[in-house]
Amino acid sequence: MLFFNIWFLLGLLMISVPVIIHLLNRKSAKDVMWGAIQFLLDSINSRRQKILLEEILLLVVRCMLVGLLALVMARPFIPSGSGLPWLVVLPLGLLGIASFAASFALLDYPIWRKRMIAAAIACAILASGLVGLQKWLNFSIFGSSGKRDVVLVIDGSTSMSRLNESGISYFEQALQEAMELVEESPRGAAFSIILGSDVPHVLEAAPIIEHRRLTEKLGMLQQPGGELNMLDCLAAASICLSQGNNASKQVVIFADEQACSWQSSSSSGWKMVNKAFKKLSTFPQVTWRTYAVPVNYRNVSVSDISPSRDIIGADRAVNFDVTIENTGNEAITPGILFFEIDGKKMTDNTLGQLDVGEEATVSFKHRFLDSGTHIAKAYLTTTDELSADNERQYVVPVVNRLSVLVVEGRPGDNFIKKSAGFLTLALLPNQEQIISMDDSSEYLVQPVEITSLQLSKITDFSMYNAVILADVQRMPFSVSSALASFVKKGGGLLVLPGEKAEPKFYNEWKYNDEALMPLKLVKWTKHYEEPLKPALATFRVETLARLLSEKDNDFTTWLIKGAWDVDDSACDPNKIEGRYNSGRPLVAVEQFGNGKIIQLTTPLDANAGNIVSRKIYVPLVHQIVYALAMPSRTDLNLTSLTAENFALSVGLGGFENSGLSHGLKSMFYKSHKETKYSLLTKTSKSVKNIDFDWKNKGPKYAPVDTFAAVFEGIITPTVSDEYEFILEGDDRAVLWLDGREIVNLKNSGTISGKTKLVANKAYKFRLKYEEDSGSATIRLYWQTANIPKEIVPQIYFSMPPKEQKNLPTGIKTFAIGPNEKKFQMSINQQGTSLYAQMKTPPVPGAFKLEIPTMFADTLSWLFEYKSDFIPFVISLNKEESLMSALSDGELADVTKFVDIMSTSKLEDVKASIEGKSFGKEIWRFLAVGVLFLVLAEIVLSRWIAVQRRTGKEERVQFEENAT
Amino acid sequence: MLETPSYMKLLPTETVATLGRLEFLAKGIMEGTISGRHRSPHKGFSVEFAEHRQYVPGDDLRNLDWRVLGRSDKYYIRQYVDETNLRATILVDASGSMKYRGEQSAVLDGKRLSKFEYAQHLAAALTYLLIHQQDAVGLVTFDTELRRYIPAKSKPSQIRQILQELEQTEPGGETSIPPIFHDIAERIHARGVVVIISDMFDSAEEIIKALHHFKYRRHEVIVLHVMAEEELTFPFNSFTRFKCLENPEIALPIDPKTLKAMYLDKVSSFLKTLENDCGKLKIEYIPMSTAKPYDTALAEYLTARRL
Repeated sequence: MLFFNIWFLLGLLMISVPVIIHLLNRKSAKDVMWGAIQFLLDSINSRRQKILLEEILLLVVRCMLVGLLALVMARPFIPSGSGLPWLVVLPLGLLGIASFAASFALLDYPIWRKRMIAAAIACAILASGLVGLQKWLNFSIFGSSGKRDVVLVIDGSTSMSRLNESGISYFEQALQEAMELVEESPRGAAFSIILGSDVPHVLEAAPIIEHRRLTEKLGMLQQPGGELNMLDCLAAASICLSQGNNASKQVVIFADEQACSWQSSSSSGWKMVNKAFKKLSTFPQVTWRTYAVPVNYRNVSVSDISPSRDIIGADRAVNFDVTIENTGNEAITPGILFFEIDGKKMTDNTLGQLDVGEEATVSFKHRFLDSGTHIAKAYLTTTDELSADNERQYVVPVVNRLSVLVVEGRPGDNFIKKSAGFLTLALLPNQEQIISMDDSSEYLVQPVEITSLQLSKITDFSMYNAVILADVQRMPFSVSSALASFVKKGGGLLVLPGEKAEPKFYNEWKYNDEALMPLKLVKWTKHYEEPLKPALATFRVETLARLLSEKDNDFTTWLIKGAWDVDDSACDPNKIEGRYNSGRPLVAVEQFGNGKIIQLTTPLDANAGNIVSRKIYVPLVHQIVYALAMPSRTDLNLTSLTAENFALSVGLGGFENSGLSHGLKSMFYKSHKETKYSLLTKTSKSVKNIDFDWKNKGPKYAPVDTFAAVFEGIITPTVSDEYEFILEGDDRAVLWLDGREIVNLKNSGTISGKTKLVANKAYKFRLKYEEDSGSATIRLYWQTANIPKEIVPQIYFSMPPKEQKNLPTGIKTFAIGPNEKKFQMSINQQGTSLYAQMKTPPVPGAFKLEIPTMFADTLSWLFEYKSDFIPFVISLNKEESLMSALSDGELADVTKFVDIMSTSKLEDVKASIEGKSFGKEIWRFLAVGVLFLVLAEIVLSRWIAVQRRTGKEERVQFEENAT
Repeated sequence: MLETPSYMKLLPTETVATLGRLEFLAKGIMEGTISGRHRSPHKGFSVEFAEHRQYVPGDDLRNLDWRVLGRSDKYYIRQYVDETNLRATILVDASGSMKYRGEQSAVLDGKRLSKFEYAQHLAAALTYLLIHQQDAVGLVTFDTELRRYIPAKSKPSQIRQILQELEQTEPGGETSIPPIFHDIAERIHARGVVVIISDMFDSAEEIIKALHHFKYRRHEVIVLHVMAEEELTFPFNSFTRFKCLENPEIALPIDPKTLKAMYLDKVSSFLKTLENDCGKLKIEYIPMSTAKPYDTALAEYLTARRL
């Protein structure tokens, strides 16, 4: 608690007045020789307590009255962020006064008197100590030496681009006022500058005192636009202040009253700001120079552009819905709406007057001819208060044809009975184009149909986006591995098991010990009598959501006559995206590496049900394929928040694709004699198998003698049997499988060991080899009852996917933003995704991101048509267009954590810099207390007088008793 | 011309004049040896000459022995056997509390009277009156102890004795009324009148018990309760240190305003108790404030008594 007129505190000495009066009374005691002492003694005894109470009360009330009056005159106030609650100091002070007063009423009771005096002294010391401490902490608030650190936070949000009465934007006005403030500030004041936007731009972090430099910097500022994030600005301000040297701290905010900037409901955010402020040497004073929000506000904004389809290909036209909203508080007529895309300009004149808050939507149709990213722009030419929101841009990624491999599991059957017949038809109606892969095809999905026999010859699926297995019975290990690897890398797999499917194959289909199928097939069950139906409510597939919500869809008329009973006990229930009306799973979706597997429990053919005759069949098949086959869905329409770090490609890996490779990882070490092997990194690479003869030397880069080698990887046998492993080498080697020692060659020569292995199980393989001198060889053979002795072939070895080699810190690049300004960017690889980071603080607008060549191949599909950069758009938050002013309640929520003095006058701000302090004045509150005490004193004295009958002239009845 | 002895101060001329006409008539039946104005318990009328006594101005001329006058030119009164006389003992409280003077008490010779002085004058006047009536008067002065006991005698020289004693008595010491009363009650053999002149500042209960004792001995008791005005009004306003007149160590610094009401209530109840209990015991209780001149007060009382 501090005081405006602290000298009035001397008035506290006036509390001695009632006390002195009391003492003087006692001093002026006349001596009277008295005879009737007995009666006096008796009276005293009867009334002792009461007298004391009356005395104390009167004295205390009088003293407190005087004390409070003195306090009121001293105009106390609570400075912002006062750490010492006045709730402590004030009662302490009053208590001290009360004890002091009471001590004088207790002159005849020495013990109590001493206690009271002690209490009074203690309170006085404590209270003045606290006040003094606070004063010391805030001392330069009173000092007019002006040595303070000030952070100027200037609102650069879009709303500040409105024009004031003088015709300049509020932002310009704020800059001018800030410059004026700096120029007229006292000598020792040091300033930092923060330009407020979605992300605060800290222009001058550590406060500087060269005022000229500051004004120059201020003069050069450009308005970034966007939305002011007050919390982040204040957090940044606290960091700036912590770098300052002055004891006194202040934050001056030049901002309009827009409510959204303040995030008043985020109490956790404000708590953090409060905490950060408390950590500074003194709690900073926050002054807010407000710019009023206009009462009459005409504004219309283009609030949204939304295409009618998620996945837009070059196959057909798409509609763009442009939403116009009246974000002002007056009716407005938007006028002509323009829509530009691919160099084409379209206009719409249909917009009529919009009421406050009213929206209107205009649709524009367009057909893309090329894949890549395209930019659509919608804008109005009306003049309104805020022009920045009259335009909006949208980045549209247009995808290339999707190549889908459809595997027919019943090739010999007639068309109706075929499993994939209708499927392929649904994907591509024109029969002739099924086989040819003509580039001029108009259709997004390009299905390629093969038989399951032809499937066994395929070893590489990377040219396809998705593979569909329509009632395929089984496939060879090599194919299934290749297919699994394809999915891992990002491909899509749709499994439609029919009656022919072999459960054993599907259930045991694994890749590196990871099962592919989420559901285990148990038994094919026929439901002729009572066909199964899909339970619409259980379908959660987001890709199907739009489809299933359309009116008149006949999804629920799908009757299923045959389906697989599955065991889903090992399956995460969240993976089950749809069920039958019986409750059993119908479809499960599994994320496998970078790709996706969709497994149904019934095929989408005429054998198992009537799906092929439903209207929804074709769109359904398309949606499922889109879901599988799309490359990573990147959204390049960002907000300032998301623009700081956004994904360019998800799950496609970096410039180095991961994947299964057959072989073993090898590591060579300089010497096996040392306790810790020192790795020779240059020799680390993958080897095909263990079959080495280095003669008298050693591998390249390794020393000739005493080197060691370790080979690691995975071995997957295809047949279950008892295997005999034979190590032949010079000098020593040890083989471990799954951590168990199988063979140990202790001296040059040959040795073998036996172990049982299970088919298709991945065993961790590790072989250590040490060479002393002389010749160096090592060979690993195996044999079983069925396999003659052979060097273990490469195909059985595999290495776990390499740890993604992360780029050291990100590749630096840049993006060209609004006003041709260059924004520093960096591209980082995180896991299997590529992210772009904006190093320069983002502003709303359209950007072109330059892509370094090493990423070109991976990201080429995102490039803008006929160019080599990736466009992205940072759009304005709609809140910014609304000029809703900060309400008193919202401000109160904020001031709970940070006390803010707001003013609409620059002079007040200047005064605050000079140390003319402010805070919550509490004299009114105290004045009420004074009034109350006055009343109390009056009532008390009256009551006591009545009790004592002091007014009356009384005489005991005496002579009247004469007999 | 003879000098007036100092003790005669106690009997100023006006008082004598005032008292001249008054008689102190005993209420009860007296036992006495000399025939006076008081009824004797003894029945019958034996007019037997007992002795002469010196004529004192004011005596009834009926009993003047004219023969002796004729013979010797001396004035003598004939006292008869059947005239019984009053035997009165005056108990004067000489404790410290009687020293209290105050600003409102009656003035005599330009000085305000203290309670004791008031009592002295009262006692002197009564003594004079009684001796003049040929009654016997005795004196007791007391504080915590019996200071002086002059047994009742009707000799004219008794006046001198009593007045001298009164004049020499300096009030002081603490009050202890009841034991004294009990003591006196035992000492006085014959029935008589006991006049108590005191401020009665002691336990009312104990006092009453002692007064009971007197009544048991069939004395007529008259209580002249002397109090100062201030003791009845407590007119103090500013902080005062009340020093006890009896025990100098007791000093009470108080703000009188805080105690006035309580004090007055206590005094009031004390007086009421005394009054009531005296009434029950058929003891005459005469409150006398020192503000009223003693002779007026006494005259009023005696007049009222006659009725």
